Amino acid sequence: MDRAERTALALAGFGHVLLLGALSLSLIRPAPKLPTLNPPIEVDLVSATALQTAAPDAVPEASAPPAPSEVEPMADAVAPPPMAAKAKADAKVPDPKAKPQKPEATKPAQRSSRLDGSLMAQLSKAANRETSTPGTGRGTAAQGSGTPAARTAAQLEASFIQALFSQIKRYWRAPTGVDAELLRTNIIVTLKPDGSIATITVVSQTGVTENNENLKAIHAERAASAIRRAAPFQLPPEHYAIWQSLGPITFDKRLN
Amino acid sequence: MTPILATDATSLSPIALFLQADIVVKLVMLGLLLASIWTWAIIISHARKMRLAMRGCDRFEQDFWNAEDTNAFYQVHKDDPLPSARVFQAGIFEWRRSTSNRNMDREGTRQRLATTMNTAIAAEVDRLGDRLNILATIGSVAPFVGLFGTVWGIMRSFTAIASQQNTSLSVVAPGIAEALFATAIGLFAAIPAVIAYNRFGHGLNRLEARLTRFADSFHASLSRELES
Repeated sequence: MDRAERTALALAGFGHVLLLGALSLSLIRPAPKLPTLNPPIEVDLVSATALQTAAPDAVPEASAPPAPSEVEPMADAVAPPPMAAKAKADAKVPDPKAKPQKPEATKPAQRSSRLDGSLMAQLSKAANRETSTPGTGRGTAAQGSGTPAARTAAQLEASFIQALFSQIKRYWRAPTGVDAELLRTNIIVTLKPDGSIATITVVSQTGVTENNENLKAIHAERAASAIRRAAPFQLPPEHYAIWQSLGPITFDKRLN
Repeated sequence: MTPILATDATSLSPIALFLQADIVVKLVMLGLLLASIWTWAIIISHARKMRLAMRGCDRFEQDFWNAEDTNAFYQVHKDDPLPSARVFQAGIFEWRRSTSNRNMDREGTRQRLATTMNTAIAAEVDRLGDRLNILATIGSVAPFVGLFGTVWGIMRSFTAIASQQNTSLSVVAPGIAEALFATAIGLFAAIPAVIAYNRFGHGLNRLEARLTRFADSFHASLSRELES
């Protein structure tokens, strides 16, 4: 290897180190990934169905059948057999005239009223409750049994919030900026019976980072103003107890 | 822009890809890198040598045909390392040895002159084409060595998939990328080597043809001398 070759070797090595260095120091790097222009949209099926689904259809059927099955074994257990048999026989007579529209539910109640003992008081109380408002149907039936009513109230409230959203959406403009889409403002609204606003309370804000710190006040303010501008709300007046205070309603970038 | 040593695989940094690789792949990569350096060293030195030789031959032949006295010219260029000069020296050397005794064989002298000068040409071409076989070897073998590294790396990343029970692209991709980097280096070494080999082979053929022409002309003039 003579001098010329050694020089060439040094030159080639230097060139390779230079190229490797350029690549490693990220002087030549692929172009950064472009952000996706249309981020995937969250679809919520509740907002599409809103008010209709909340109606508690199943309640009259659900509340009525359990009554006989619940009462009958207890009556047999406590009362002596002949008495139960007599009660059964007696019960058959006054039935039809008492309540033609709900025979299933009233039959055990009336029969149990003829039983004696501590159980009888309870049963008669239950019977009174059921027989006191026989004609009003759905609403009282829902109040009579605990769990369907609670579920119904929650469903109703959710549907009222959806109704609120559909009115507010038009006025809601989320602030834009760095990390603005992470901000969420939770608001509780209390309403007057005529659908106008009594109070607006900002409960909490989530998704606050150091980048959107300056936006959170604007976010809450715009949320409140959107509610104010959307008022008054048209909500069924008979459920005022439920929609008197709604929330916490979460305001995010896309209200739904 | 502040240059930061990129060690993440996504930026295609060679250092990062090298550091993440298996030991076998690392060895392959190092070998290929050395082969690449060697290739370029040969390319640089050989290109320089060929350029000097061509230019020197041009000047030498011009000087030779312009020279009045061949003996004087020989005295000046006795130790010239140029290919043309070597052929010339060989011819003169044989001429002097053949014409030194009184009853010389003219036909034999002609043949001897031709043979010595052809030998000198072959020796020169041999000397110049010394390293070209290395270029040929690197050009043909480097892609295979790189491919070996890639196959090894991909086998390794497949076993990694099997052990992790996870076939998402983020698990598979880095291993395959680092494995493919071995083939990339192989091609990086092989492509210049093949191009240079072909180009230098062509250059060497041209030089040989040129030396042959010079030798023939010189032989013709010596042969004319013999007749007189």
